Amino acid sequence: MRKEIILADNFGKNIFTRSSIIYFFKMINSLNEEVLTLNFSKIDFISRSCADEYLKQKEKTNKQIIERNISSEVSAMFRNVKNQHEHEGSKISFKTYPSSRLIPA
Amino acid sequence: MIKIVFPRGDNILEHLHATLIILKKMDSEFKKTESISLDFSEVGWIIPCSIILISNKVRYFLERGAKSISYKPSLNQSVKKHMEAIGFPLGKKEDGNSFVSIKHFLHDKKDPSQVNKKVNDLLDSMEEKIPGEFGSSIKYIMGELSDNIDDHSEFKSASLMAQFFPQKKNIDIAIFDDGLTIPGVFEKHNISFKNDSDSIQKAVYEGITTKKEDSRGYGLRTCRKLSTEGLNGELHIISRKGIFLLKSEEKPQLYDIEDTPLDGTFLYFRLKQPNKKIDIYKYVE
Repeated sequence: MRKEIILADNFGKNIFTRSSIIYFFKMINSLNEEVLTLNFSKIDFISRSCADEYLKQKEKTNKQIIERNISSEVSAMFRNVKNQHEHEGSKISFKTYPSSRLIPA
Repeated sequence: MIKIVFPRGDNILEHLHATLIILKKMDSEFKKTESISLDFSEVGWIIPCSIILISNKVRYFLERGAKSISYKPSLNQSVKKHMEAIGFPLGKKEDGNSFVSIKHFLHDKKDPSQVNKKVNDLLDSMEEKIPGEFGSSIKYIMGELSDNIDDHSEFKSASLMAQFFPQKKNIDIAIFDDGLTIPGVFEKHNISFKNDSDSIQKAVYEGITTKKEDSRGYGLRTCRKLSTEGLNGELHIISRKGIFLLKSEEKPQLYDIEDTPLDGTFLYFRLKQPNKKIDIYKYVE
């Protein structure tokens, strides 16, 4: 089963706090669907902290996450955080489903 | 009645010092009379850092059942009009063409998305007032600061305000929370520091985090780089007894105050409009 979630309906145009990301993942982890498409349209900005938390939560979840319509701004922040993790030799690894790569809008 | 006196110039540190003295007088008057009366009649210039701290204090006394709160407005008509416009003393929903009026909010622990929503509302209000040259810098700074408050401070109330000065091409952003304070958080997590100003410096330069995870602790450090290197601005932080002041291309100034500590953390940014749109990713670690 697959479900699409419009992130702007949950966060507004900008994603600023880790707690809102943690809360969001708690919510989606409780859904029955195993494949979730997270639609980033209308998300203008994600903070560094939230991009970091998002990637950690995505790593933990058992759901298959597919991102859609990520803007270049949001994509740049994710790239930045991933680069930082790699630079630090982070213990975090990223699952790479063929369909879960960050797709620019 | 407390006579409100501010320095004539635009020096933020001098205004903050004057404001801390006023807050102490307010505490003292409230203890004696359970009322507050403020006389702004001779104030000829007031900047957001003072407005938001005094405003938050008034809100605090009201919450504690103040018998009466009154204030005499400035005889200077432009100051009087401005203070009304920004919603002094208790804030208001409507914003002006160049400012986001005072916004206070109480922490709703049942709503984990509360801070995210509030800062989104603030940014929505600011969007049209901020010149495009600032790029995403204001969002970055507001995002990281609000996340710090949400994540670490255990705050009960927070206050926000922002103002763009078109002639000076500055934007001033003020954020206050009444939480644990930076030295308070350090103490709670057994992080060593010499004095309160040193704890702020550590948070700003070393990006110390209280969580045992990789990839945390970048928030204030990047805000510092972005505001002083990217936007040629000033960063002022007061947390408990510590004052930290950093201006672009200058060494940080640290002060510790004994007699007028702040019950919370106050951050004040003065950011200069860049000549061309700033790329924040040059500064984000």
